[in-house]
Amino acid sequence: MAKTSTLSVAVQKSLDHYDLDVDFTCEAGSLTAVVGPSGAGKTTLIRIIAGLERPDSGQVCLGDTCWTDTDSGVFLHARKRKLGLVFQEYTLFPHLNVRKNVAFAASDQDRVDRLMSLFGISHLADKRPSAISGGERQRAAFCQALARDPVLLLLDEPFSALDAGTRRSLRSELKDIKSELDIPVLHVTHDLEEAEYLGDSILAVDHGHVSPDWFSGQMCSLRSMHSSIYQGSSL
Amino acid sequence: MHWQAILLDASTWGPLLLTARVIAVAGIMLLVVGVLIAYYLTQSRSRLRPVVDFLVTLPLVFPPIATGFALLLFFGRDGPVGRLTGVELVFSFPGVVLASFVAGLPLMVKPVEAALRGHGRKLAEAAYVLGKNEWQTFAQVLLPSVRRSVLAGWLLALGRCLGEVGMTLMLGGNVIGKTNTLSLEIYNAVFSGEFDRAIVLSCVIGVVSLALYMVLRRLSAV
Repeated sequence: MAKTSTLSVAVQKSLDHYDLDVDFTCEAGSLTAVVGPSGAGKTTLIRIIAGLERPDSGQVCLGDTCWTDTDSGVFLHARKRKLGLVFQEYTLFPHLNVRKNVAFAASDQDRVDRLMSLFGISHLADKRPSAISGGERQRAAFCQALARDPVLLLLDEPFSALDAGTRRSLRSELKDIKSELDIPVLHVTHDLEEAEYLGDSILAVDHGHVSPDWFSGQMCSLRSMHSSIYQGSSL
Repeated sequence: MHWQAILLDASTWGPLLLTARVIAVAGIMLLVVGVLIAYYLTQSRSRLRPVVDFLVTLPLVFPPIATGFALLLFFGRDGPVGRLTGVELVFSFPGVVLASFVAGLPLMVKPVEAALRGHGRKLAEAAYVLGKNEWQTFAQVLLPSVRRSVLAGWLLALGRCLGEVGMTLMLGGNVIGKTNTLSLEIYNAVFSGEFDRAIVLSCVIGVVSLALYMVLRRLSAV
């Protein structure tokens, strides 16, 4: 499969309080930030793309290859999609050290070493996930996801459990690395500034639907709040 | 009789060795079958799942003597298993093993099931996304992740096997020299007024139980 493929998603799924109905594309080499309020359906969308959930109807295709197509009954198991997924919570395997975690699904050991060096965790190779900090765990999770040489990278609020300093640092590292990845990257976040900073495009989802107005409205409110705080502090 | 003489007496060694053999065989069965049942209970969406869950949990809440009687009816000569297969399990070594296995099963399955439910789903999904199939995920991720719970459940189950009386009495029959385990031998000693012997045998079983408890404590402290 060519790595320079576009991700195209058009899926519908009934959720508890509303229907998820989203249609978008994400170009190879670009990062689409998926934003929206809590419970908007962002994580469900990521899980559908990853093959961890099935939509009621619709398609998930990368280039010419459809991973999910309810019309033709196609559903490729998550293990066959060759994608990288970094979860919100740390999901490194607790019984393996950092290097074994990163190399868990990798075929190229040189790539494992390169990634660990790139993310600055080479010195943690022999440590268990429980013995390193949250930021280091998330760096290891990024390495693990990229070590497979994925055709698509999905990030489900990977920075939400980190402190502000670590979050800024990892954001900056991701911005540097994403330009070198020739694959579509989907980054789910509830942090609007993070979305604006990292995203080549923004996909706002509200109550299961694409809602560009939601993002612009929220950004206006945020800027107005920042402006009030600034003016207040200068008085 | 002096306690050393009681310990060295052949009528003590017989039940001791029988109990060791029962625990060895039932222990292996509990480890393999218990882990697989725990995995099945966390993964399956079949209608059979609640039935399996009920049957596994039953010995925890049902009186052992009544469970033993039910097993006797089921596995006995005139029961469905006896009639269909012609195999007679009761009043023999396999009957005692079966009683210990059934008694220990819930204590083996429940801790492992709880551990698999705790983080198992997320870890399994992470492994699937990284290209592993169900068997690889079970062997390389889930089992190593819950190994502490497996060991804890196994030790608890072995402790239960060691002290099992009601079901063993029903299925094994307390046949002297054949199915009289250590716990049953304590009962026999008390019943025949050999209190010194009962005390020594109780101390032996108590020491083994205490050792299991110490390992469990160490496991939960780490």
